[in-house]
Amino acid sequence: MTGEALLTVDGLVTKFDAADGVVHAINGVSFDIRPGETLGVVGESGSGKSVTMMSLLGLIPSSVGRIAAGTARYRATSGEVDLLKLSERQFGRIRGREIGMVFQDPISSLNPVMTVGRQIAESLQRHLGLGRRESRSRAIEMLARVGIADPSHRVDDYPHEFSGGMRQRVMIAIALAAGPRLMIADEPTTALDVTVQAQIMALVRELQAESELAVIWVSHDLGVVAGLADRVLVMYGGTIVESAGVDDLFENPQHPYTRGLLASIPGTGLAGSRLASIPGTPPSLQHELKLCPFADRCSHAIDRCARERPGLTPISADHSSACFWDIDASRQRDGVAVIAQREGM
Amino acid sequence: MSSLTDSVAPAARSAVPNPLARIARNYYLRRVAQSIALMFGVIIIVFMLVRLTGDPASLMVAREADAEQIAEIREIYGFDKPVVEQLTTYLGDVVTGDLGRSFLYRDSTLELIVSRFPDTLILAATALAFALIIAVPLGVAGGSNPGRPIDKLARFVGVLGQVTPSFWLIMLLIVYVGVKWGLLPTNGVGTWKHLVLPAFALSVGAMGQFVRLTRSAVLEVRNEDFVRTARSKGLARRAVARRHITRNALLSLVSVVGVQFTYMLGGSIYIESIYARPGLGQLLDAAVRARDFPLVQAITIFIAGFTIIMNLVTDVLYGLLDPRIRHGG
Repeated sequence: MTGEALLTVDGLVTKFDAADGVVHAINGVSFDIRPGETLGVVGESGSGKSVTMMSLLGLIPSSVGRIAAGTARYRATSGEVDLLKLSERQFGRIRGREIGMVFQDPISSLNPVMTVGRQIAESLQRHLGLGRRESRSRAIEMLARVGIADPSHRVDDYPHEFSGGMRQRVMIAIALAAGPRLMIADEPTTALDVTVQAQIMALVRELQAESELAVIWVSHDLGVVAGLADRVLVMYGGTIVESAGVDDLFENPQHPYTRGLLASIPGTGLAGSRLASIPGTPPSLQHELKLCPFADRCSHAIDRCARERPGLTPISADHSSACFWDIDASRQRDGVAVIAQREGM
Repeated sequence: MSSLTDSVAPAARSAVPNPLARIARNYYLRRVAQSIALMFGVIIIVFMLVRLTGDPASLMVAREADAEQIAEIREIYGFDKPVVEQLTTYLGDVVTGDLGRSFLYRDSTLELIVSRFPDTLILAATALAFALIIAVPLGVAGGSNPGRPIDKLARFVGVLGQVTPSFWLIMLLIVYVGVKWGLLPTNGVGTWKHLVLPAFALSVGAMGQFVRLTRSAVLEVRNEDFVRTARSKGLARRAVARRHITRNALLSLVSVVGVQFTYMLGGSIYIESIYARPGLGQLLDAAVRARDFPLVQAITIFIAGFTIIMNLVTDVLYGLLDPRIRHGG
């Protein structure tokens, strides 16, 4: 987990063109991930987790959205590329081959009229140039690797013949078939029940132990991320508000939003006590973000938060927060970067 | 030893299957059984309808026939017997391939139908081919490029095809392509040239429907999650379009193709009469005009039977193409 980053995202901005104006979905997201590392990305719906991942793989349809700024340097086997500037054709050698993706709903994410074996084989034929027979036996191997029993028979089955958890294993087999070094999993266990969720998480850990596979695991479930990630990004309003090692984040959260999230996990309070929640609603992303996105829901907000937008600033080694206020010391933090200001202030 | 028989017994019991239960489990057998039952239902209804309209004997004779002649007809055709007896006799005849004798042609109705049907079948099959060859590529191209000129063309063809009456179009084609420009024959059968105008006229309705259906199916499938998965595998745009989008989109076309094909048999009545093609449609037209009620009845049953078989073929085809139907109990 040491050494050079596999992927370095810097200042990603993604916008959508809606009927009633521009939606500023991603407002400057920067992070990196090293080989073999597991990066958890948490945040509520609409915080920009999925859009960030789709942006990195060029899966935002050009008819609805565009990447307005940023770089995403990926160390591919053939040399470094900027994912945000690739053509559709160039992406063909990245998707599946370098970066595999697993989606949330395994039944709708698999082609219903194609056997799982062929869906795995497609990737092998495309990226490794394997023939029909070779790719089929490799597909059987992949099914065995992701823990499907009797893979040589199951390879000819269709997605509807598998259970939810088995389908997600098939999705992982598809994503990893051509041997990518990064797997992006977008809420892969959200549609599964808890025991199956644990099995899938265990499987991913096993697969990571076999190779230097880096994993970006997107979830709105802090519990899942706590059990899996090395490092965690907390997203809010299309920005990263806090980034820290997993233990550090849970023991010493710095951003008021992260604290709110942790406080609202059921089971941490007394039995029968009211569930904690964060008052207010997520921010509208209709305007360019020039103030702290969390300011109007934050109990620690000061005047400055409504005028200036704090940048993600290091607090200690490998722990950053985007907040002007130091909650523990009850005073403004020094040296917080200001990355935007409202005009006329 | 006893433990062995104990363990074998339950398996042996389930291995002696109730044949009905086995038919119910197998999708194809179930559909065949349903079709046979339906065919009998159709024959009974056609048989009863004729009797509901009054004395069939009076339908079969000239208007000026006297009571004696009618009574004679009644006896010849067995109309004086109880209805249930007539029905069982008729069902027996149908099962053995006897659909009655034509009044007009003084010949076996089945032989008449069999001699005329190939022409109609070729016409309808050619029309279906025209419709598919034009509609599928146009629908796929339109659905893949929403809002572009090709999509506007697809939508235009879709609506135009569905609102154009084929009997009007065939007359227009005869007048312009046949008479004024002299490019193709104006009537009759013979060469492939005789097939072009009537088949095209017969195809436009289906063509319109196919274009619209293909287009909307492609539009829908494009946004499916599995298409995103296919793209995330790094497949080329073409491969995604062909293997994942088009294949799934065309599934919804299968059932409609079968239905349209049987509609075309009905549509051939006008086209064949206008273009003077001696097919089944023209035979039916002549039979109705001449009040040849055994022939009308035979053609009705024949077309109904053909429709049922087409539906069966469609369902079997569907089962082969969509594994979810094949396995879904």
